[in-house]
Amino acid sequence: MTQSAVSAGSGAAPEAPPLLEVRDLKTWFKTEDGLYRAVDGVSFAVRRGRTLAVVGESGCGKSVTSLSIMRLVPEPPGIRAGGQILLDGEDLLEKSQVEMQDIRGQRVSMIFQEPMTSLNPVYRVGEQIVEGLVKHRGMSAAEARAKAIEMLGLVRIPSPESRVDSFPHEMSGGMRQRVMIAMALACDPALLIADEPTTALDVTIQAQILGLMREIQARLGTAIILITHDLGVVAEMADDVVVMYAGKVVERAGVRALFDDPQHPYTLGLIDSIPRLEEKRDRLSTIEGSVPHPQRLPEGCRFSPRCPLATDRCRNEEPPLRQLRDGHEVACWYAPIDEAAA
Amino acid sequence: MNATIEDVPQRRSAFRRLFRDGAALLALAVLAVIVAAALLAPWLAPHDPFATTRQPLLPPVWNEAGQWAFPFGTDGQGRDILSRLLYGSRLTLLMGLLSVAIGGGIGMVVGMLSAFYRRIDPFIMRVVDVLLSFPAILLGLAVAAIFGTGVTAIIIALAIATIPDVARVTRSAAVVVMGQDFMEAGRAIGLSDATLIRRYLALNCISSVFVFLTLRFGQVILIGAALSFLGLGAKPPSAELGMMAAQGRDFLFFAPHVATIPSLTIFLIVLCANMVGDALRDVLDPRLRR
Repeated sequence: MTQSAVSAGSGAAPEAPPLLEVRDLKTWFKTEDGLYRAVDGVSFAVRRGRTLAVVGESGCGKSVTSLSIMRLVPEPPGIRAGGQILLDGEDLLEKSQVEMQDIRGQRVSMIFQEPMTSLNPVYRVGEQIVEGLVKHRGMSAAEARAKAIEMLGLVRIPSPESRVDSFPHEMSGGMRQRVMIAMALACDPALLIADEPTTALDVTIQAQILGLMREIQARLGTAIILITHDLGVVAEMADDVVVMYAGKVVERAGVRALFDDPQHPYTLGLIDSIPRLEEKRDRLSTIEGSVPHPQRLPEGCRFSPRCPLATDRCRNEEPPLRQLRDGHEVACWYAPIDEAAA
Repeated sequence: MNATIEDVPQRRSAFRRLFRDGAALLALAVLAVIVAAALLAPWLAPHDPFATTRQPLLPPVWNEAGQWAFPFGTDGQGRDILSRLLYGSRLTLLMGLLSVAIGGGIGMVVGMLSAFYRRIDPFIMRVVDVLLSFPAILLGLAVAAIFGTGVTAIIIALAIATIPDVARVTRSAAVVVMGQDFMEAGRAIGLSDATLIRRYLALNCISSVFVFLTLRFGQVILIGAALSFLGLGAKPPSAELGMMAAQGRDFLFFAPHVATIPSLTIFLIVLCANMVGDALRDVLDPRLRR
């Protein structure tokens, strides 16, 4: 943990090109009551073998971002309104669905929020892992089965030789999430997208799954995009963090910088609303209000109606994402925040 | 959501629960006996079903004039009704089975495609609506006009008549399955559409479709018998239950058994198929489970 935070803090030095670069991604939905700009100009990069956390409240566009990378947004109603998603320099938004089938599971994989419903109930878990291997690696049934057992062992499922023949309903939520991870990693993808992988699990299992993901990352060198609303998980897992609000990136930083020196009022609010052991408080602080309805976005800064610092300028002009220092960007007129407070 | 989680164990105990339903069990037994008798017709039939005797319209044994040699009596041409019944059930069951299998198979594919590719869904469903508004009998007449009368024509007509209903039932089941997380998870590991339809969609909606087909089997036999009765089905020397009933019509007042015995057999098959289907639905359909 400490190690990764340090390396993230010093991550300013130019290094190898990122594995995945999302540039100005716009994913909109055309609905009966108008255009819904779920993701509206999001940019970030994922470095090889590292973890990028995407943080934000429900409805801020985190999940749509991850589905856009996988090209799993149904079209219609989804619209690829612009931007690029460069995986090793190839734009995924330009790929056909058939080309995407070779990329999904092989180069980019995804695990989902609900392990209870994400496995096909009529198939044995081993068969579901085997499917991807047979398709992407052209393995024979026997080879694929051996690999499936190996993967189940890797995700620490006890007696994988017999569990490979279990049905999903015979497993607990934590076990199913392990199977999902095994399925996702079977073909050794360079990037794993984990969409709130631990939200549906209880706390002790959460810690185990996160530990497992870190361990596998160290072993296989997989880059991870971790979608979460839980800052505790971010602190535990991430190297870099992107904070999203109402379809936009409001702050982007290394994990250490984000927690030590948050710049956007929204990030501050999020960090402030974490309960702390060392302080005794009667009420947790909250951010007033809720995420604006995507069809009634405010003028100017989208956070302005809820922002304690908002002024007329915020309500009229939308602040661009600008760089404060190396690797730390923020979209707020008042950043750096110490000056504004002074 | 709970239904998905508990799906398989429930399915496993489904047969056990089916056996607890006494009426359904009886119906299943009767159906099994009829099917077995039809299959074993060449060995069970006491007489050649096509051979005429010089004793036409012989009443069944429960009548004083009946003879044990012809337990259900003879028809207008002196043929043994029991033997014709055994061979006739064969043809009737085969007709029902084939048309349900063909129509059900096509209907299921159409329904799944409709749910999977939402773009073509409105189009397919309108075509299905049009097909649904044709009475099966009319369809039968049309097919007979094109292909001529005969068992094949009936099977084609019944299969076509089965497609739209099955397509609708499959589509509604498939739409629910499409909304499940595992469909997206399957996509996320790079499975092709064909694999997703075959291994994810089909297997998860087959139980509701199967129940519907069991119920449909009874209806199809009934319509098939009606078409035969109208003279569109099997050609005279062969035996088919609906046709046997039709031929008995002429003697209804002085030899009622010629028409009623095949009719009752149809009634029994349809009743049993419906009861088994109902019981299967109660057991397999989570929405009807208390």
